[in-house]
Amino acid sequence: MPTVAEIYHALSEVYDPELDTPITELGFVNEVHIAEGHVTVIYTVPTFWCAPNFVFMMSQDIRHEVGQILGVHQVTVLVRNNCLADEINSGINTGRSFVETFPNDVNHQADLEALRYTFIVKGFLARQDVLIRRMRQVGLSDATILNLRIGDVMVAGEDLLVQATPPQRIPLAATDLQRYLHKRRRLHLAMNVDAQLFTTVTDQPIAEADLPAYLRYSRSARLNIAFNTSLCEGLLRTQFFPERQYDYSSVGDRLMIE
Amino acid sequence: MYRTDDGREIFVIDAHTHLWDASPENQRGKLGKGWIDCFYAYHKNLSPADKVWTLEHYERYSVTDMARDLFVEGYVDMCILQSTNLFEFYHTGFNPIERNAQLKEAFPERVILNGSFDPRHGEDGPLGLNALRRAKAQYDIKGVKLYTAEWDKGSRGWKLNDPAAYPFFEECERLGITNIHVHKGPTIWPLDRDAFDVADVDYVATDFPGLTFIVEHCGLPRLEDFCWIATQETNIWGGLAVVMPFIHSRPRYFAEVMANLLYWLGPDKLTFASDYALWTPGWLIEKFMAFELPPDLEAEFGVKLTIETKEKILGLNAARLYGIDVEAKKEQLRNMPVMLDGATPAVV
Repeated sequence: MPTVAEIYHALSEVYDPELDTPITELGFVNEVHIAEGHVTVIYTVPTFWCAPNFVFMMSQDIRHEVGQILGVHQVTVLVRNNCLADEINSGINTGRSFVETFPNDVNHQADLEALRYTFIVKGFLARQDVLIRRMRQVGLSDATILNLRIGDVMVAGEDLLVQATPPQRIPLAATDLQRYLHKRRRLHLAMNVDAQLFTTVTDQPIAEADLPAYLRYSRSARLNIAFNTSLCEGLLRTQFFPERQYDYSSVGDRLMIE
Repeated sequence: MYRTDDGREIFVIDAHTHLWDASPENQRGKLGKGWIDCFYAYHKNLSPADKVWTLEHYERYSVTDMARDLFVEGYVDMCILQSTNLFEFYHTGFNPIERNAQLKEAFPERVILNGSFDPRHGEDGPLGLNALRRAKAQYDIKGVKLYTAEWDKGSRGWKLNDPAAYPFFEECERLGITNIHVHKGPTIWPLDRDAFDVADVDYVATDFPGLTFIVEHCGLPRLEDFCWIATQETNIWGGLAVVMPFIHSRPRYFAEVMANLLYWLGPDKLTFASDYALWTPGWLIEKFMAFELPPDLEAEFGVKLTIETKEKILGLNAARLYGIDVEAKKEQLRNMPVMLDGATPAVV
């Protein structure tokens, strides 16, 4: 029989697409029930008006990730607090697609994957922006940063070591690198040691002269994700975790660097 | 009027306010309840603890409450009332123009009343072309508030560049209704698209250069896309409703958003708003006047939030949009103090 820990591990691979954050970190998951091989996951979204397409994606991803665990042969996913919760729950749990669930609200070529890709790109830019800024903070030049290969950076505990001249240690930046590489992998960008560390989302090199304009857009994408994340967490706490009403910390804060 | 320590008088227009009724008697089932509960969560989460209302008061407040919160305790000289209809969520609507007009009737010199339209209503529907013409004739409206996520007979939203919307924008141009306030709510239709997509604003702003499109909430949660289109089109402005309260709970976020907006849009196309009764203006204005942009953001973006810029954002920009002569208005209002609950002006 699957364990609760295994289920939570699987759920940590389910992202709120818009916030680029696992639903477990956002506090969305309320209950996990295991009855033999039948797993039920109940989760809550922060507002009644959360975009139903994103909610559908999360429910679908929960079903998919949990369904892959050895010993799980049925998954029920129930979302709470959404204007279309009933339709989404019934669609997901009978294995219907998005178009089949909402035949009157989408055109028949509707492609949630295109929407998902838009937000993966924003997440990529935000994570990349954090890492580049960490490198600038320790004094690395833009030319040096843009010339780095993946093999030039390595993790040392919580810090990052950069093979530049002279070598640089960036405190507490190891997770920033890992988060960025995770997104590169997700986008199927080159991951070999010789590959350029920083590229555009289509794996093209970034010219030094273009970097300020490039980063200005990345920065607003990053700010936007952080802003939305903090807002969603706050709305969830206010309604469902009143003891955390005035807790203004946010997982989005890791995107906020000066 | 906000007076600085050195005696400067800052003229304030709260550019996005409502007089709503979301009381249980007016709610149509779970949608009406879900709507106001969501608003209340925003209010509770982002207001300072001592500014939080009870849910009951939040659901329905009076003309007097609103006048006190804005004109007496909130430094607001004038407010713009934006109509939000939501007839499928509330029996008599949420804050349709008829309800908002109550404040206009009580304080005609202090209130700018805006209407709205819905292209799905055609010629004769309650928010159709004829209703727009009537609103112009009755209230001389100079602006409309458009809510593209309004549910209507099975349809769950519309886009500004829908062909059916074009006759409405043409009529607005003809009638001199030049300020188009746009709220991008989580549009549910079409369900496969980004619910907060702002691209449709870009199309209509290009096609109707005589109209000004004020995107409320500055396109949040799509700030980066909004900034991009607002830079391309001179007639796209940003309304600061919902951005403002972050000044309390997350000042760094607020600072970053302001730096972005000042960089991309500049100081002349931004308008202050409390989004009343989502939040009350008094504390927002006090904090905004005391706020300074951190040096690292000033350096990176090359922008400053000076007292002159604050003055533009708090009132001068909106005054320009609505043709308000600020000096004349200051003089007029100075001679007509707001009196509530039978109070009389103090004898000087």
